[in-house]
This record gives sequence, structure tokens and C-alpha cells, in this order.
Amino acid sequence: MEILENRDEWALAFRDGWLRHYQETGTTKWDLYKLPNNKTAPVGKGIDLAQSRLVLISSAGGYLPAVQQPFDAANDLGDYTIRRVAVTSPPDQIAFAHTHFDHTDVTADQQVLLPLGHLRDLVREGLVGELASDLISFMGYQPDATRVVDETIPLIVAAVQDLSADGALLVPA
Amino acid sequence: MGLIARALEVAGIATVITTWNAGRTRVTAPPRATFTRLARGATIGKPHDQAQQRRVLEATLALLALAAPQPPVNLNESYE
Repeated sequence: MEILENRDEWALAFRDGWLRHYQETGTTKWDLYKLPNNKTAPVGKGIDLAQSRLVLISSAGGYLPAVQQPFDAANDLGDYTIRRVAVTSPPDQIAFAHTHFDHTDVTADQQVLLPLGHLRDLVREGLVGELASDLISFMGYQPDATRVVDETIPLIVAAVQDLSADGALLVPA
Repeated sequence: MGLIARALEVAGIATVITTWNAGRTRVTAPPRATFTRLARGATIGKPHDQAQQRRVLEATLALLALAAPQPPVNLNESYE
């Protein structure tokens, strides 16, 4: 299955539209941006969550400033790297490097984007088998979908496999 | 996020997304998703509204029991 259907067509439109405008002007022009247009969703088996290990995947740009580099939030071309953050990390040790959303709500209550407290409750209540030891974090401003496919996705798939997760909850910012 | 969900599902990991941005997500054709009328930066619910956050999480995670693909589920959850 193609992760980005009609990839070559998408890449051409990106290069000749949004990217060319950015390279020529240094500014972003979103009416030139072409969204993906996938038609077929992948087939997959359901899981018994009570017997499964769940991993949280967040695009809010969370990272541990004491030990990790921030995402390159100021880069108009995006950042395609990931960070692994232990789910036991105290909320006040997690910062957010992402300039494309207002941080007021996540500063007031981190569970609006990283619902680790709720997920721990669900484990205690037996609705979720267990949480993966790390959440997977990236900064969701990633205009080049081909770089998402070629760079970010392999990193995330490898991390999820390394964590032996059966299921993933994906929470965009 | 939708592209990542697709790749994980192909790799044998069951996935589900919850988002306030149905338009951006629908075009990626994710395996399972819930759509809300929450807000950018508050995807799981309003700050300190633990009941709403739990409702969004439980409704979203419930989709993992079902084989993919599933049509996206609209949740009656908003930021108002």
C-alpha cells in the first residue's frame, strides 16, 4: 500500500508550487499548498486493548529540555526528527518546541495534548493493558509529505517496534 | 498524522487518531479516527475538563477493537 498515494504527482505540485514560492520569496503561501488525497485506507486487525501495550504518539513538539535538543520550530521547511520521552517524565520537565499552535491550553493542563494521566488511569482500571515506556514526539509542522514518508515514518515505525507496542494513539496538536 | 497511522497499520500496529481538524485528516485516509469540534492545541479536551478528556479518549480508543478501515466517527465534543 502507498502511504502517500500518487506521490510523484504530489511531489511535483509541492516543488512547483509551495516550495518554489518559498525559495523565491522566503515566505510561505498556503493557497499554493496541495494536501494529500488518499482514497484507500489500510486494512488492519482490531486489538483487545485490555491485553495490549499502547504507545502515545504526539505531534505537539514535546521534548525534555534537560537532555534533548528542541525541535527546529522556526524552520519554515519543517523538522522531520523525533524524540522519545519517558511516560514517567514529570509534566514540568516537558517543554514544547512548536510555534504553530497557541501554548496557553497545554501550559494550563498538559493532558489536553499529552493525556498520560488519563492513560495511566485507564491502565489501573484495566481498560488498557499497559503503556509503552516512552511516548513518541515530533513537531507536526512538516510541509513536505515526502520527507514525512522517507524520514519521520521510518523513525516512528522503528521506535514503536522497539517499544513492542500493539496499538498506537495518535494525537495531533 | 494520518500518513503515520497508515504506515503503522501496514506494519501491523493498530492505530487510531483523534483530531479537531477533520479536513486535514480525512484526506490522508487513516485506518481509524474520531473527529471533534475541539481546538488547535487542545485536541483531547478543554484544559482541566477531565470528564470531557476521558470521553474523547475512551471513544477514540474504543475504535482499536475494530478491524480497519473504519469510517471516521464524529464526537459531539466542542471547545465552547
